[in-house]
Amino acid sequence: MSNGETRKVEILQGTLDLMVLQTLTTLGPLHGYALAARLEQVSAGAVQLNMGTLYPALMRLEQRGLIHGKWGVTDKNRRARYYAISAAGRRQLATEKADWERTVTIMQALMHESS
Amino acid sequence: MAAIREWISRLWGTLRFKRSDADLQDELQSHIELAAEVAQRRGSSPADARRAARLQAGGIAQAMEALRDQRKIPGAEELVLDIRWGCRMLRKAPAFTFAVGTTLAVCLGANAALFAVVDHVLLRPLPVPAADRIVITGNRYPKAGVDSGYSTSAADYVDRLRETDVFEEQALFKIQNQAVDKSGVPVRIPVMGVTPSFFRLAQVAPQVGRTFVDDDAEPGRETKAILSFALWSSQFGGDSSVIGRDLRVDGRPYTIVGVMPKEFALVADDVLVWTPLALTAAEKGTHYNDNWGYLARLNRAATIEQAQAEIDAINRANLDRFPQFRQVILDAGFHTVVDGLQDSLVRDVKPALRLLWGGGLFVLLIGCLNVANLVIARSRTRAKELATRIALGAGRRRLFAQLTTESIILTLSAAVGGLAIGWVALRALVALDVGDLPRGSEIAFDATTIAFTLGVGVIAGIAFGVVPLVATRMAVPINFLHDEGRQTTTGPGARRLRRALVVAQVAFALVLLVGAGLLFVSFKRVLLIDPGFRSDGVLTASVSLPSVRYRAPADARRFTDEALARLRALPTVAAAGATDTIPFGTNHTNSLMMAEGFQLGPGESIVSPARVVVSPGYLEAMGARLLAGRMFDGRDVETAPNVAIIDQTLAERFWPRTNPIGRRLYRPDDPNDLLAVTPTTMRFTVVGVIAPIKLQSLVETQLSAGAYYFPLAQQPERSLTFAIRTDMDPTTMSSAGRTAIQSVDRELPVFDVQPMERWTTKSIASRRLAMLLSLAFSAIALFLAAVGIYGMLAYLVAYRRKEMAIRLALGATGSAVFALVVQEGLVVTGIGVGLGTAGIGALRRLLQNQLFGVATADPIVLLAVTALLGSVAITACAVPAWQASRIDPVGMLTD
Repeated sequence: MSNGETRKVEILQGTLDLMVLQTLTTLGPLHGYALAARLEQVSAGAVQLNMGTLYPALMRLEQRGLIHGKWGVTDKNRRARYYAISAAGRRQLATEKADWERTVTIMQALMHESS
Repeated sequence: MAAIREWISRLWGTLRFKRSDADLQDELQSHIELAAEVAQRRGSSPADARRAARLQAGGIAQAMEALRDQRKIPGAEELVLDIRWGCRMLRKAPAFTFAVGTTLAVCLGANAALFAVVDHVLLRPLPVPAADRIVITGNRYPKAGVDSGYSTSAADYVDRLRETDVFEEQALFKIQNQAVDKSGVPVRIPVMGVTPSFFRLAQVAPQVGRTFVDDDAEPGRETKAILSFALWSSQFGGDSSVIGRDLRVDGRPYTIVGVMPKEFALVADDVLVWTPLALTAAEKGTHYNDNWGYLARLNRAATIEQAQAEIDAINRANLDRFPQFRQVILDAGFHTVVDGLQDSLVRDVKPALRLLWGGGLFVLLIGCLNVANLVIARSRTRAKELATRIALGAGRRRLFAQLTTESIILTLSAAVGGLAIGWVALRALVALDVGDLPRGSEIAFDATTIAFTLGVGVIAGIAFGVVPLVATRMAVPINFLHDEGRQTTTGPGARRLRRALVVAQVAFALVLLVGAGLLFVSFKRVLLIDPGFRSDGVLTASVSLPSVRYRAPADARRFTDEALARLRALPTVAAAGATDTIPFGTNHTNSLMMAEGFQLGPGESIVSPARVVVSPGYLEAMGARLLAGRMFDGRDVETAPNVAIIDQTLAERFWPRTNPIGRRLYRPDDPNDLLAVTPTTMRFTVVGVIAPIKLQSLVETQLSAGAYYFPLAQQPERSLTFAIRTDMDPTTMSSAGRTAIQSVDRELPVFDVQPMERWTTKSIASRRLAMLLSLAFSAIALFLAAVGIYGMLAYLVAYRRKEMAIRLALGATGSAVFALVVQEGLVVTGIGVGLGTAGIGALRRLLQNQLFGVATADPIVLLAVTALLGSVAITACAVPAWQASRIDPVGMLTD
């Protein structure tokens, strides 16, 4: 692949959920591939999800009622399963986002201090 | 809590979430195609694009694997397997399953029924908001013979409104039975007169309409009424247009302004109508005239102790404000008690119910010990299975999950059976007058009871599930596998444990048996108490003459005379009379009384004996015993000199060494000197002395100040109970008696038509309930203990067969082997009895105040119980012992 030089990011447990929920909030309903492409694009290729990671995560979110999946049709008339965030998902996103931001602040303060 | 919710929603989501493999595969396929499409757009050939997409997205097969894992409910498949395995295991051991199931079902059923009673009577808060802040007060004059009840004067209420600041709201009330038309028939129902503050204090909004406003209680304007939900639905069909309609209470018209919600009840749960309580200026100014009930709601910050302190301070101040009463009030030991309302309602039954609940839990404990024993016995036979599985690498967690699942299936099914038994038992309890308990009408088999029972079932299930594991825990698997050939004796540890369990069972059973025995003896003793009258053959019937139609005392007198004449004319009626105070009824009055020439010693209190009004013939009909003088008769009319009959208690107080006949009582009427006799003082010549009649209850907890009886003609009363003595079963007279009374006034409700014995039974209902329940519990306990002993010995005999066979082969006689086994059983029983006896000593204080006429250490009860337990134990030993003595040594040893 062309971006063989880019260091891939090991995805932290739980952060993938946050990424998916945030992306679905920003962009509205997306199918799995679009979601993966978007994450890859935003991370400048650092986040590359294979199906074995992406789809179980989507299923987990769907089982928890945070997103809903529905078969639909793309612009090019292809069948694809579209995922949309639910009300519960939005609530979950809000709390996780706050947690995440707090963690980041703490980590930054810590790293800054130690350097 | 949030975690549980999250877990439930996950489980639900997972259960609901069903996507087929094909559907999942479609989605992955579409991913690849979309990726290929993008690659193609960037200029790759279709084949390259597809390969690149595959490479980037990963294999479909691996992704499917991960998706299938995610789709599964974590642990669910194992759970289903465990349940299936558990059911199979239980089916394979039907005797074990049946024994454990029935034992637990019976024990849980008894506990479920009792819990329903305890929960509704004791544990649950009263059905108003923040009920724990509502207090009730009672003025007590112990040295004058008034040391119970919760009554207050209207003046206290006024004082407290002015001078306390611990209360958020205060109210006075008075409950009276009054006649209300029900479908055209006048019936007597409890009506509660309340100050308008009562509903503000309750903090319960009406279902329809409004509650009282202060103006409703202005004297002369107290013509509004509020209905209970029960009366509203039964009488007015739950129609909201009832507001503004008329309701006649004792003949007077009231306007309905509101309806209270269904669950609302405060102080008494049988009240059907509330009316405003209008207090006159005179009532508001009179202290120590305790004719009302008083409730108050504590401020958020205030405690009951602070309320007590403030009320004590007012009482002290009143001693100075009314110096003329000072000495008398001090000598009477006057004080005011402040109690939580809920506490005051259930005070009488609380210790008994707690004791019974303890008994119920004891039964459950014995049952569980039995089950534990069975489980240990079974785990012994399963030890090899478990050891094999551990040796083959089964994780302890998996084994634990399996065993607890199996055990929970069993205990939970038993709990469901227990619920059915409990429901039936509660119906039986209700038939046994459990409804007469305070708050009895609230008792129901509801979600809390069901949750309690199932909860206990699950806890027991987990506990028993652990037992086999613990039993194998100490054992190294390899030993069990080696053990195969020489399973002749049981491990000493397990055997000791089983014996300890049976000892505990016997001990608990003994405690229950002794408790039941003592309650039984107490009850018998209570029945032997001389009430001072003979209730057999007496029918009672009550009326209340409405003041609207019986305005003058002469009207009431005419009615009573006529009704009594018609009752006496009935065949088989030997005597008939009427009273305002039927023994064990609801109306009790006491009032100050003095005797001419009687000198109070220093510090001696004046007395407030019971005041009873009776017609001629009443004391005769009740079978009261005349000790001196005469009963009332036709001479004691309104215009004749005032007379009284006193009971022996009062006679001994006023005239300890002289004949009271012809002496005079007087009612103190000078508020400034209670001992003064003035020209207006009412005097009563004593014409007779009778043996004391128990009025409030058979067992009187306080020293009685005695009683005096006035003739009805001289002291008219409107609320009367007729007593009719007949030679026949009084119930056969019911309709004739009712008809005779009603023939005088067709519009008059006649109520409580019942044999006198019914009043007595009702007064000892909670005692009888406690006795019957404890007998039932101890019967179950005795049975379970017998099963426990039997089980232990049967197991022992089964495992020591070879030893017994050797003994027999070496020349031991059958009876020696028999004795060996019985001895084992009796040693265990003996230790249990010893420990149980010690246990009773520890429970003495709890038990003592429930007993009457018998000590906790009563040797006869203890002996009888030990003998009973002993003979049951011997019977339980005999079967396995007999089997042991019948072992065929040759067959056994050559086998």
